[in-house]
Amino acid sequence: MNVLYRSLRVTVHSQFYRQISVNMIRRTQIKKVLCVAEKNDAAKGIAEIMSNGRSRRREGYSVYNKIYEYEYNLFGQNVTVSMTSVSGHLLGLEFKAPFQKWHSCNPVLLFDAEVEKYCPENFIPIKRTLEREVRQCQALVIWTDCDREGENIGFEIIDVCKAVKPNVQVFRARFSEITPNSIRRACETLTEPNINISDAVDVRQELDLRIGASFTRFQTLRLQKIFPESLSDQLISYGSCQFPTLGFVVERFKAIQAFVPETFFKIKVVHEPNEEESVEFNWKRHRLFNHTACLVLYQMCMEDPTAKVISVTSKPKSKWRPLPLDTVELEKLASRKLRISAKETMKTAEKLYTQGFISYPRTETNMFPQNLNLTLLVEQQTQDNEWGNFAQRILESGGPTPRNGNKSDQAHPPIHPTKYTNSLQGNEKRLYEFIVRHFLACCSKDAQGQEVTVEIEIAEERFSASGLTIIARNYLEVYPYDKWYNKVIPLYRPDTTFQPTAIEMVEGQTSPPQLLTEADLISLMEKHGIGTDATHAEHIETIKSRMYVGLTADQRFLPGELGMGLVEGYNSMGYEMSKPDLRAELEADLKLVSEGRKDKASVLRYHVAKYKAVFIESVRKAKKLDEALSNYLGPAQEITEQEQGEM
Amino acid sequence: MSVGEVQVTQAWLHSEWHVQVPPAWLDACVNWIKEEADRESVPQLQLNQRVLEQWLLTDLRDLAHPVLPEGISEALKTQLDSCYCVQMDSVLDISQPAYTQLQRIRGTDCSNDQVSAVTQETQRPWEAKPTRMLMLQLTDGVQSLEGMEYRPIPALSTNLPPGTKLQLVGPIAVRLGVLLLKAENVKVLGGEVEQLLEIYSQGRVLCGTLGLPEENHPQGEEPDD
Ligand SMILES: [Mg+2]
Repeated sequence: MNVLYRSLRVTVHSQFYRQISVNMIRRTQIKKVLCVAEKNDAAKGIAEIMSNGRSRRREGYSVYNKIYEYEYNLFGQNVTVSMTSVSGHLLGLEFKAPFQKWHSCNPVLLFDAEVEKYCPENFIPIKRTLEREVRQCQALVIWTDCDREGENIGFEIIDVCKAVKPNVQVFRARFSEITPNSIRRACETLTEPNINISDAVDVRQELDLRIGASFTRFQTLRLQKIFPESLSDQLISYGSCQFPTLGFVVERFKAIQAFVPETFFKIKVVHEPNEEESVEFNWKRHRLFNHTACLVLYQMCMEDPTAKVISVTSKPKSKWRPLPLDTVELEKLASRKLRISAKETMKTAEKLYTQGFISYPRTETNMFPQNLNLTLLVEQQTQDNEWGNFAQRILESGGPTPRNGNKSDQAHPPIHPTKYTNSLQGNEKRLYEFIVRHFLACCSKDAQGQEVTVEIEIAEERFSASGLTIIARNYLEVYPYDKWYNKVIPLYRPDTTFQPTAIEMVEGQTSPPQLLTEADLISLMEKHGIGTDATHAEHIETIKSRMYVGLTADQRFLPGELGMGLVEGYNSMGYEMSKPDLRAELEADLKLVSEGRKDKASVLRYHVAKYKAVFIESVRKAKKLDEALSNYLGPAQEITEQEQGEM
Repeated sequence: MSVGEVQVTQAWLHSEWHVQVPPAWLDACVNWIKEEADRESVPQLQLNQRVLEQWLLTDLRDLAHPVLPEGISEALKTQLDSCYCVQMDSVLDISQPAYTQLQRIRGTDCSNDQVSAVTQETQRPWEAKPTRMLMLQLTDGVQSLEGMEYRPIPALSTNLPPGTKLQLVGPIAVRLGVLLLKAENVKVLGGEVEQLLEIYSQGRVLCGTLGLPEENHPQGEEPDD
């Protein structure tokens, strides 16, 4: 964090690009085109498709980012394409030199200190490649991932290229999967990069930097001094997403601690009409939290223990096939069903995507677009030994009939397989199989069953039991992640009576909620708008790596002492630092910026001011933080007024 | 004070409301109402009404005038056939955990507690939505007993203030000293008892049930600085 190599100052204003019209450009002579993808894998995959596997590979300055060269018909003419890549963000954001060192200034100044974009040392070779290549090109096509970060990375590439070749013409390729159709379509419909989306990322980056650096410096410097024994070497980071995420973990832990179990009582009726069959009837009152009241009703039942069948109803019941897969569902399901963490899931999914096996895995869409040829996608899977027959049956029984949700991000389709493979290993194989099975299940039919409910009365108390007969398993055949079982109950006729085998009064206890699983935590983050589907996994990873939380043996989140103390400390200041509201408002504004409905500068100004006010108050009430932490870390070290002033 | 007036009131209370009061209390009450009126004459109808209002606000324990059959709270199995006016000291919903109810009235119930990773909800399983069952702590001033909401009684709720007066209308089954109440057995007359409002508030009753220390300050009222 200390030494920075700054070789670029970004001053180019992007307003300019908006005025480019595609029609105008077509008249100029373009001979050579530079294409830049977000990662080397993607560049390689796209180049392979565009060149029909006949691209020439060259080295760039960065050993990880190759250059693929080939001829292609673009803008209605044959051009030479150089396809290369970056490795995610090319530029970083940092404070200007006087503010970079930890002790260089009072952290409160970081809310207003000047910031600038720079190219970190390890990315300079990539930047040099771009500068060298673009000089010989008349056009630049951005092939980064089509999401917020991708759009922003695109503008970083544009800024670097424009700095050495101001008149290069810039285009954006839009695609959701690295398949021939999708890439060809993107080439035919090149557009302009979207500055609004990129602006939203700039705002987020700048706020994260200012808020993160100020609070992190403040709390680290203070707490290291106050708890030298436990914290002297510890970085105590703060982030406006990681704290609410930590807050959820602490909140659940405290809910469990505060919970008071209560005893309840219920009446259970068992009927065994013959040796093979046994039915348990459930009390309509469910349960009572009072022994006497239950005993009174139980005694009445025992005095007249004849059961009268009130009604027997039979109705169809279906178990719904899954909805098309969006990112959050993928993370949650992979975590629950495959026991793969959200971070690992996204890493693996990204790899599957860049190899062309699945569509873009960052999507909020859970409905298939009309123009997606699902039949073709199902067809690709018919060759598999395990689910091939199922795929074949979908085609033979009327074709894919996807169940659709109602969310769309207007950018990417739901996650689905784009190419068949049986050559994967390990988690890649498991995740690919899951995505394929989920897709086929979604394109299939709901499972169908018939539910029979028997209602009986004993001494005017009502009880009921139900049985289930599965008629057609349908999607369940390809989707082992869902379970549905037959439950047989004997035949009862209305208005008949029988003697129950046993009537019992049983007791039980209420139990607290459980510690959060990763899937629960993602649900909460989504519910409160903390982070985006693209960043949930990262925030969770951060609070783990900072030791704010740990995992129990059954993979549930348990807050650590430092995490508990920090949340309690900030809570006792009366600020909702660990509550989701502050951050959620910011995320909502970022969305408006990305849609062009709010402007970058005013959103920045508003949120900087808000967090700055919270910061000033937090410093004023810093003793509360010490107090809360001393419950976990032992007595606080006294510090002098002067030391206090220096912090 | 004319003796006739008091007797008329007593008869009215009994025939209209099935309310029985000890003569000494009634005398004192009528006297007090007249004093308050400051020698203006109080018409009989108004007097009746004012006495009833006083009774509704009185802790029946102060009257020490039993109306329920003796030993009813110990009866294993019996039935009440006539009409009785009693006082409800407190009420508790025993169909739900007290902890949940306490969180709700304190406003600390956290919807996040219910969140778990239910993904892509399939058809919702039939959930037993329990019918409410209130448990009432009743007294006729001398004998205390409980009444349970055996069948739904819309007129009752946990919002009724402690000391509310109820008219119980037989026949009412009694088991293990508990009245099995149905809608037709209960008429809410109203009233409250000021001294009971605090000690039998829902918060206190729920804390008592849970064995928690009674908090006078609701959570979140911690002073700032
Ligand atoms: Mg990306």
